[in-house]
Amino acid sequence: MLATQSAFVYLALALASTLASASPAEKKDDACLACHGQPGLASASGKSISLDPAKHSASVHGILGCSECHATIKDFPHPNKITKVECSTCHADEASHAPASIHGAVDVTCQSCHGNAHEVSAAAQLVPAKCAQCHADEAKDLRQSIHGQAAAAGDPDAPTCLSCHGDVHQIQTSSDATSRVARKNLPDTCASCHSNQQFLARHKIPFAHPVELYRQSVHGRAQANGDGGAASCSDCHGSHGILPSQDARSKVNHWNIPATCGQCHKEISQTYLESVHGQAMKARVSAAPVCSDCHGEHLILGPKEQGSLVSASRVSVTTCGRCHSDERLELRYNLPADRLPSYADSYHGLAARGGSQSVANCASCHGVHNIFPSADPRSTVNAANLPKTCGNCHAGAGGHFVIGPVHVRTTTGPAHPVVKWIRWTYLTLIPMTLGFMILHNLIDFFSKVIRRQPRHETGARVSRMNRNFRIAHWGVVLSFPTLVITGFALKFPEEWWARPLLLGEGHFAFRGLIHRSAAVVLVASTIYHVVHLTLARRDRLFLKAMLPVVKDATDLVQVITYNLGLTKIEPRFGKFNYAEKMEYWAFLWGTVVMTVTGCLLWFNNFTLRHFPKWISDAATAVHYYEALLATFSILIWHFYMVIFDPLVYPMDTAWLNGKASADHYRHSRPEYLRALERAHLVELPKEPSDYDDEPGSPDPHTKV
Amino acid sequence: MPDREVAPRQFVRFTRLQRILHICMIVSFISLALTGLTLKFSYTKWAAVLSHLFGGFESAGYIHRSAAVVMFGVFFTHLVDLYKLKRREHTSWRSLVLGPGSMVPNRRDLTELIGTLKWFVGLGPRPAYGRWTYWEKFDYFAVFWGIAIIGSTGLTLWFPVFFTRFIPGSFLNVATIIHSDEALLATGFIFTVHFFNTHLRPEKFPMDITVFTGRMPLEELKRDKPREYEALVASGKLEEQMEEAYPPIVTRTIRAFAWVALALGFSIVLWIIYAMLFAYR
Repeated sequence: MLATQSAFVYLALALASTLASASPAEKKDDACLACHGQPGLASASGKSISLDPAKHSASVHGILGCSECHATIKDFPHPNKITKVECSTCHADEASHAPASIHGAVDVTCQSCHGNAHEVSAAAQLVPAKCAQCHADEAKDLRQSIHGQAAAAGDPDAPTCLSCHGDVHQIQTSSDATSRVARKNLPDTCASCHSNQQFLARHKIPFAHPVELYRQSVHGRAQANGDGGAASCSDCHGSHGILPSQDARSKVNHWNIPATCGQCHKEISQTYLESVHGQAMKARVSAAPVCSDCHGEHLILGPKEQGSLVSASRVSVTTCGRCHSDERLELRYNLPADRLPSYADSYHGLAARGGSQSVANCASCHGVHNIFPSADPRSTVNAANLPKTCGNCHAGAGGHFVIGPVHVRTTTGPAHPVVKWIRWTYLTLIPMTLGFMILHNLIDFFSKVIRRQPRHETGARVSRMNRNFRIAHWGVVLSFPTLVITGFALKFPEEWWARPLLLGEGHFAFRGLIHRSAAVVLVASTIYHVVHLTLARRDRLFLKAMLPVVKDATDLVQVITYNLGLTKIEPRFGKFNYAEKMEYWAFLWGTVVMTVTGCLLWFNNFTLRHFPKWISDAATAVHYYEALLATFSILIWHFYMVIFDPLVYPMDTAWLNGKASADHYRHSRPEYLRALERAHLVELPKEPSDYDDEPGSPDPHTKV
Repeated sequence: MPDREVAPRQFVRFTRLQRILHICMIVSFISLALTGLTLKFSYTKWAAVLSHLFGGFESAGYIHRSAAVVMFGVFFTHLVDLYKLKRREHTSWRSLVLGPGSMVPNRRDLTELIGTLKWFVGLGPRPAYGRWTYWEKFDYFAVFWGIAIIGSTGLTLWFPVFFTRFIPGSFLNVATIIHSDEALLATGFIFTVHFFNTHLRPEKFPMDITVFTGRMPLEELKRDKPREYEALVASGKLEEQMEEAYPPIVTRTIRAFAWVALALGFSIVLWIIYAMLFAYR
């Protein structure tokens, strides 16, 4: 702005002088120069009062006549008292600001920079040479910097001293809050070029929005909030000597970053330099992370802030996983390949993927800047230190814990022999069981469809479940699906159906709470059932009828052969057939297994205190596989038995009102039905059902 | 069927052309669904296996487009059939649309829907349905909707160069989304709602083959379409619409075909559920 004003003044003067050319003033100047044009003319006090007319007319002031500045001198001889010529007469703006600037404060006068008033050169010619006269070191740095190099190459965008420091007459030191190069204002100053997208494109600078990102960072926000000590642009990049990061001398060169950050973060950088990463960095291992590889560059956020690369929810996958699950680095440095996936599969990893902030991430166990190989006694994961490290969360996790590997994959990959054994048992058991169930049911279904046995023909009903059985069943009906959904939501935390259950993971983790409440309900229902059988003498007959006998095995074989049409002998059952017995005992067995393993996981501090780690791993594996088996058994075996079996379709209603349709029992369980009939326990319907056996209106066409 | 005797004469519900069209529709629809879904869920193992069976994604594409041509053929043949029906039995389009045998939903369907909902919860008797129930009408027009939406977007994706002479290129992306998700809706609808309505209802379970034989036992007509039955009895036209039942060898063949279609349909539903629950992207 000021520059523009000066330009106008200059233009006006130039115009005036052109109009006044060859005016009497010129003649008058000749008179002045007759004396003052002689070199060596001095005043009474010895001050030089001569000037070089050629230099004067070549100077910016060359358009001015003598009397325009020396207004009080009209004639010769001169008056006794000669008034001092003040620059401010014309340059009021500049003169008024200059004394308040840092240059004013250190007695830098107009002439210090502009030189002899008769030989003043244009402002543009003064910078940077004139600045360099006093600021030699800075000027030298600038010349070597990327900015100086650009200026030397004639780049019109290259900044000069004033591009950053502002109007020369108002210059302040960087410690002054109004200075354009004060820490607080520096982002604005740098942004004038580095936020300009055309500028960035023109110079092929790939760093987009560096200043905007910086402003959101922990440094930028602290600076904006008045913390003058917070890092600003120049703290990391340097000021006059800014060099591109690929220059080995640059403050932001990869190898110099720990030192640069260490200017402020002294202790951390010391710790880092001793760590496995720091040591590798010192050995010039190219992939060794320096500060910015984990924390980011301009947008560095505090570890507690959401979105931070080193926050609890992101550090494991986004930051550590960036190298520790990289195939190339694993090969090159022989890093263990399963660290991240085994963590992701563990409870810690699953809960973290679900959004939990409180479970362990990589740093919780391995440390942050103080990461050492586990063999190093300083390492937090050294065997000697593990009880203390785990004890941070799991109070009293004892020496037992350290027996056995920590990074274990429960579903794939290396594991403790017992876990491996469990995995293989289930991976054989599950397909065999489910395959048997599917095959058995498909054969049964189609053979029943082809045979077209009658169903619901009389509507006779028998009592199958009294109130106490139904109460226990209701407990399971409510808790089992809840357990399934909340349990698998932990195992598949990224799936859309798991998200609602995991919404509270950050602050109030209700998924686990629901899971454990449902587990209590399920166990309570089972106990209720056991107590009921213990107390009710009459219902104990149920247990007797449920006991597996050899006939069940032969029944199973006979059903399959009959269904396949290999025999004509229709199998007959007692009160419960083999399918129901299998389901009943499998359920009880499953409940015991799930309760034991579930409790080991629920009371994990107890488990970690008293057992080696592989017990937790085994419990995790069993709990998961048994859950898979149980879920699919219910879907395939139970639901076929009570819904899709053509004889009971659409549903066996015993669980609702205790009564089951008795018609198909006449064929398959004749003795059981006869016994019930003798006891008058078979109910015949009062009226025919709505449409199933509707006779329809009497009509002659019926017999067509 | 030892207990339920097949009535010697059965009520004719569908014409021969309608039955053929429905079979063509089943074949083309299942082919479209299988080949389309292998692409939609290409990240599941199932899709890789299926695509391998089809001979790769490219040949699956040929099957997909051939099946689409069949589907269009079915649709336009049906429209022509409707036109002939109007020429043959109706004096005007109005009587075709508003007549008693019309597929167009009317006020009575609304009262039957409400009546059915009441019947579900035990608040009233089962409504006396006519020739077409409201859910059958819904299924019928769902096909029109599907043909319009999936067909138009499908053609756009088939002939992108031609269509982008008239529409912006970004519409191809939109068409992809519409085609894919509308197809998922159609597949899900047919293999759950339509299958339930026709095969899983307790009185039909496990399967209803009326649409293939064209015939239904008279008791079924009386039970399921009492209003139509009574109208036919009142007008004395019932006898005209009775025909010999097919011999067992024919119905057995039809059942075998229908079981394959049903099994494919339910498998696709299971596959979609698996893909949506554990692999969705």
